[in-house]
Amino acid sequence: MDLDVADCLARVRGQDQDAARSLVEYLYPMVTRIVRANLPRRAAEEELAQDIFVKMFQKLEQFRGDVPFEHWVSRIAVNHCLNAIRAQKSRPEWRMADLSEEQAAALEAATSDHTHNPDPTLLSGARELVEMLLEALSPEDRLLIRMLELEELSVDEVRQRTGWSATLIRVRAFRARRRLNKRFRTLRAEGRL
Amino acid sequence: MNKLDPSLKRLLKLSRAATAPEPEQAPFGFSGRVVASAKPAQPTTLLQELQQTAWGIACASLALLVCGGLVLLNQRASATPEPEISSALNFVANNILQ
Repeated sequence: MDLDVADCLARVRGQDQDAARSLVEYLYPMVTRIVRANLPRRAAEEELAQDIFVKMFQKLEQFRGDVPFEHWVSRIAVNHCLNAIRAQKSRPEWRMADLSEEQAAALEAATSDHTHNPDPTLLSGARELVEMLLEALSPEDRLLIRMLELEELSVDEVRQRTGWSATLIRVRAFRARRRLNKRFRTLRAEGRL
Repeated sequence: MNKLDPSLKRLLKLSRAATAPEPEQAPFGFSGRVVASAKPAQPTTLLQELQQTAWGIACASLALLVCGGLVLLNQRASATPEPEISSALNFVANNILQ
């Protein structure tokens, strides 16, 4: 979907509701992608996306045009998701025995490198397992690992989306990877017992 | 830069493959709902405040007129004026107006 963002923003500021709707529709895929990647447990995707758009309209007067509008909205979305994740209670630590059959199979497949032609059950087990591993991290570290390792974004792309400096991203990513490795190795060691 | 454990990397790769497809469009009515929720409360202008005041005054005046009318109707329906008042009127007519 193509949209002249500058023109659309001018119309939105002039209380044009059609322009506001067009802006929401244009940004919807990007915002939903961020929401899906950082969705807190039990949170409704659409509700979270709606809150982000409402916040965007409320803050619209603060947009000075220093960065592309999409990046500005992306930062609102990222911060909103981080706040939602912080608001939820942390889960107690889980152990190997807590894993479902699919999650254990995914762990086994990843460890033994039997990941060719995986079936959908294995994939969903892997996804759940990754979510559980990420929950051991802080919301910021979780976000960073998702962007760098799951979405495969570059440091510069993460910088644009989050507004964090490249140095902060590198330092945070280093610590987050170390924590994640530690958590994963502990789990794998339990599985061997 | 710190590297991830190769097994963990494989697990992340599997997880990526399970990721849901990206949404193409906003669900029907979503943008309308957002715009309706985001609509800021319009601050009242001086003209609007004056209009509201004028309407208030007009309503109060109308209510006063209706009450006055009712009182008059009530008075007409009641008995003749009190004798003290009529004698006072006679006094005024006989002594002052002459």
